[in-house]
Amino acid sequence: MIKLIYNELYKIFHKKVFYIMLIISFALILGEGYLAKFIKNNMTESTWLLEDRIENVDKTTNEGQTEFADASAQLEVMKLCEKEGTYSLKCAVANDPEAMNPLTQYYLLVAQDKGDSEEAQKARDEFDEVLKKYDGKDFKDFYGDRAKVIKEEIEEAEQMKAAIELAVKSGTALPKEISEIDLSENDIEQMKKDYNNTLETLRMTLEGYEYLRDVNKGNNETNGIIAYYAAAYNTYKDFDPDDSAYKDNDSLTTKRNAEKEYYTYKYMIDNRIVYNDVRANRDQMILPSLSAMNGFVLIFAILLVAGIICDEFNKGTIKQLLIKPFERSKILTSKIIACTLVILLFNLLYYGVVYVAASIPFGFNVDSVLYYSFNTHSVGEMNLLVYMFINTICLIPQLLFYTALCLLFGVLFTNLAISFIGGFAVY
Amino acid sequence: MILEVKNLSKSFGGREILKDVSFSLDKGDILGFIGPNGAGKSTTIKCILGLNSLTKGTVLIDGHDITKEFSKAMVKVGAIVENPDLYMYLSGKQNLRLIANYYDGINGKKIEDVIKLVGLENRINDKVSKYSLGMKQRLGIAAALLNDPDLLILDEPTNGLDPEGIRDLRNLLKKLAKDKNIGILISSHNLAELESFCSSYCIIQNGKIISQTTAKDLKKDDDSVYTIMLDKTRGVKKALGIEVDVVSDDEIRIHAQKEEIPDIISTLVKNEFRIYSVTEDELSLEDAFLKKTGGNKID
Repeated sequence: MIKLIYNELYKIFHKKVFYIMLIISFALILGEGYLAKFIKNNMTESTWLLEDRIENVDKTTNEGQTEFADASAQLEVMKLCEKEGTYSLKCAVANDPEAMNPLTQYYLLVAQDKGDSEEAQKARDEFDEVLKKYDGKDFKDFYGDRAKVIKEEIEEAEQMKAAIELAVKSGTALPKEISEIDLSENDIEQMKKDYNNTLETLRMTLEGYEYLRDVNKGNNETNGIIAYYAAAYNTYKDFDPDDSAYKDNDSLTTKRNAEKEYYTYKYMIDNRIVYNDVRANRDQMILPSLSAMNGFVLIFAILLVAGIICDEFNKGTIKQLLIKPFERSKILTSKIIACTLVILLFNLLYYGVVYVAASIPFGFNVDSVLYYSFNTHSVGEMNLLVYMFINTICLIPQLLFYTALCLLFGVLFTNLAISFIGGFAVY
Repeated sequence: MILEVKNLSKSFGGREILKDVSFSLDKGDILGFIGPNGAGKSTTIKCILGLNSLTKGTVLIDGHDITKEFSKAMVKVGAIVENPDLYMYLSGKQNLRLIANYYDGINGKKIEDVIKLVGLENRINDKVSKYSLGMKQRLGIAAALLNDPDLLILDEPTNGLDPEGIRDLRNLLKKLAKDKNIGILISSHNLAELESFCSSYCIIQNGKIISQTTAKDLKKDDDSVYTIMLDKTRGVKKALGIEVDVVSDDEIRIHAQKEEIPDIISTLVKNEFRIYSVTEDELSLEDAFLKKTGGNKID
């Protein structure tokens, strides 16, 4: 029996398909890595799109003027962010309505050929003043001010609501402007949520600030993580399981991703994990390769298993095998065992290839990977290689299922195409 | 008795391919299995090797029933079915090593011996995909001989061999049968190749065994052809009163039985013909075969 298995292994390892699949996956991932690196180095945000819009807009109409103003303001802020860092304090301030509104106003006047007017100069100064206001300050001031503004808005809204209720009760006619304001319960709720989110972002910023004292000067990656965290927080906390819009699977996936991101980024900020460029890029290469390209391993498995039976039938070599002094069950068993061993080995080799190919463009530092448990809401750290190994092992039951399925198809149809398509259709 | 086929019948989807086929083969004998295309030669061989199931009948190899003791029956069997089935992506030697693994006690020396026996020493490390058909046949035979078989079954082994290769194969098989006491079952439609070395023949047509005879009996069944050399041929038809084939001025050919020859000679002498020689033309295997099967028709 051992000799039979040895023979099957010998045959498989002399087949080119085994090596071709490894080489193809290596080349694909390596190419993807260099492409990602190239894009990162050579292509910044697409300011040309805005420039194009500004150039072609019709400034004689009202709509055209508004569009010109919006695009020009965006372009200026985008250029500023590019210079200062996407997640720098300056960029955040410039994106804030407090700064954005006067800037848009300025460009609207430019569109109306009043760029030199006093009014335009005033708007311009207002924008510069907002930016200057945070010179030498940091995110905690910025978010603090923002939280203050939102809190004031909430108070105002609640006061107004109470006033309206009182007026309705006493039968007093409301002033015209007030009666037109549609102030529902939801709006106040939304404002409260915004307030909470801003406070949470503020808290994380403070922590981040303690961690890296130059946050406001633009440690882009750390600020980025704080921004991601805030975004994930909003999605995750706003998620309402009773809302019909969230009933479908896509929404649930979004929610789960947001939950995972929320806890992961929180963990990173809490634990002062340096998330540098190299690591981010390589993880982005490897981790999707692990999950999405499992299909690649499966294709190989299906090809191999379908081939190991069907090929022998097609080439007639099965006859030589069947007239040897062995029971047929033994011959089939040896093939199943050999296939399983090869697929497990290929699986390991494949992940080795993924690791090496993804590391060549970005460097071979041994990093840890964060993983999240949905049951305990906890985040842990694991060596990247260990993580990959566990991932590989988790694929085994799936692989064994398809191995068995394709062997069944192979024995039933003795036709490579049918077995391959059959196995793949089920997958 | 190394191989015994008893009342073998085989049907595919209601169509009877083999009908009551029985024959046997002793150690040291070479049995030529002859029949036109589609007569059931390959099917019979596949049934013997367990590649097709039997509808009826038994096959005993060295006394072991193949349906009940398959492993035991197959230990001392070497075979080529239809084509030499080899792994094209492996070298000749790698193919032989794989096959050696299926049996106990085949060492490297045995493999070298077999390679030398079929004359493939120079090309044995090349990939089989680069071999000519003849070389594949030789390698197939080497593979079939690896386990020192007592029964060798070869289905159309001369396909693709050049005349020299066929002569070598013939000598090899003769030697194997004689020296190693192997029973050889060889099927072919090329009768000229089987003519000189099979000890007996089995003729199959439409799934039925027409006859199993020794080489001599097959040809000495009926009347023979005689060639007579004389001084002249004019008037010879009139003198003999039988059908005469006039070949040339001094040669005639007649169909007759052995007992009639003295009478024919005396008749010729009486009519003043001068006779130089009378020779019996041996009936070729092909003639005998076509006579037995009545042409090459398949129902």
